[in-house]
Amino acid sequence: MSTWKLILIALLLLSVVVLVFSSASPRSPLMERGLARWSQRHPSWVLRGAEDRSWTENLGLQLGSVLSQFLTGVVMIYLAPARTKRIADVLTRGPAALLRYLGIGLMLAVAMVAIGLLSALAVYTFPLPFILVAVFFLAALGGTIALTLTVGKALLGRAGWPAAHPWTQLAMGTLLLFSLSRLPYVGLGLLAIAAVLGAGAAVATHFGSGRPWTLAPLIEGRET
Amino acid sequence: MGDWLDEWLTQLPSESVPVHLIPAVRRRLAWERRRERTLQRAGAWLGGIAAALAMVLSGSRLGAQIGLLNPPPLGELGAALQAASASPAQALTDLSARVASWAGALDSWLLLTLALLALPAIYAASRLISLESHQMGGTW
Repeated sequence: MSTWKLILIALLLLSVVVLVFSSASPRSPLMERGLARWSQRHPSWVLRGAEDRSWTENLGLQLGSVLSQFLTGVVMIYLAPARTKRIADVLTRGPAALLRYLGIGLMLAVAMVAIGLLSALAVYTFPLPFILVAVFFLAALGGTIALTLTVGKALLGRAGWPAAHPWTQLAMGTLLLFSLSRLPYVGLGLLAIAAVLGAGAAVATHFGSGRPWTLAPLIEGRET
Repeated sequence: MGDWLDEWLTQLPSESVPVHLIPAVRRRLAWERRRERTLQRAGAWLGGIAAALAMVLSGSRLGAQIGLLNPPPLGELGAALQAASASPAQALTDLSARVASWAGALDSWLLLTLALLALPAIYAASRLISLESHQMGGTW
């Protein structure tokens, strides 16, 4: 058995172990303090997702979440296969490109928050924050699904299955990224980085359309 | 302006092109490129100044007074995210109400700060995206 096949199997096992342990581990002290404050200000049903459960219930919830993320990815790759492929392709261009997409996503997030808050104050632009959030969310979702596909494809390719079905690639990537997001303390940060990176890649590729961002139609004498 | 124009200029049929045309086109190209670089540099300076101003304004006592720079504790943030995953609709309503009340209480200086933050952020994003667009054959 090749080294990469062993690595792939080890990563899969590690992902399952992370899911089981994160289901069984108690909440962090920080989270406990936060919940104590929140429970004074909010009705209990708002904090339903944070209530104490047995580890088997938590595991069931986590498996349901992995499955729902996988199915969201399946729907997305059927709705926009070519766009997803273009975004996935640019995510394989190396560390410099990834840093650039991360920068784009980060800058757009900052600009979106600032513009959203400013526009919320004017009567005629008050719906804009919701639209901006929706656009950024869709970009992040599409980009993250492309990222999971890329991760799955790269790992399966190195393990000797380069022609694996896209569902298999997606399942592999989803399980890995989901279990990474469940790591204590760093999980949420990793999820945020994946979302910002995905949003940056989606926006940089014109939402996977393959057409460049250009002002040519507004400039006379330029081809559109 | 791409470098392929220089290459094309050397491949033009010489008999039908006036002698002074190619040097004139080269001069014009060089001028266009200088102008583009100058504009980029000016944009970068403006963006940098706007970002610096925004930092100064947001770091001032004025910003701290209304709690803009007091981020919620990490535990609260985690709890908020968990609550949001449990009931997203309620979390969205809650967040909208909080943002609306917070934005309504903003001082005009802080509005300027937000605008000054948005400006360099959009400029930086556009510069980074333009690198991608150039690779795809577009112009920003």
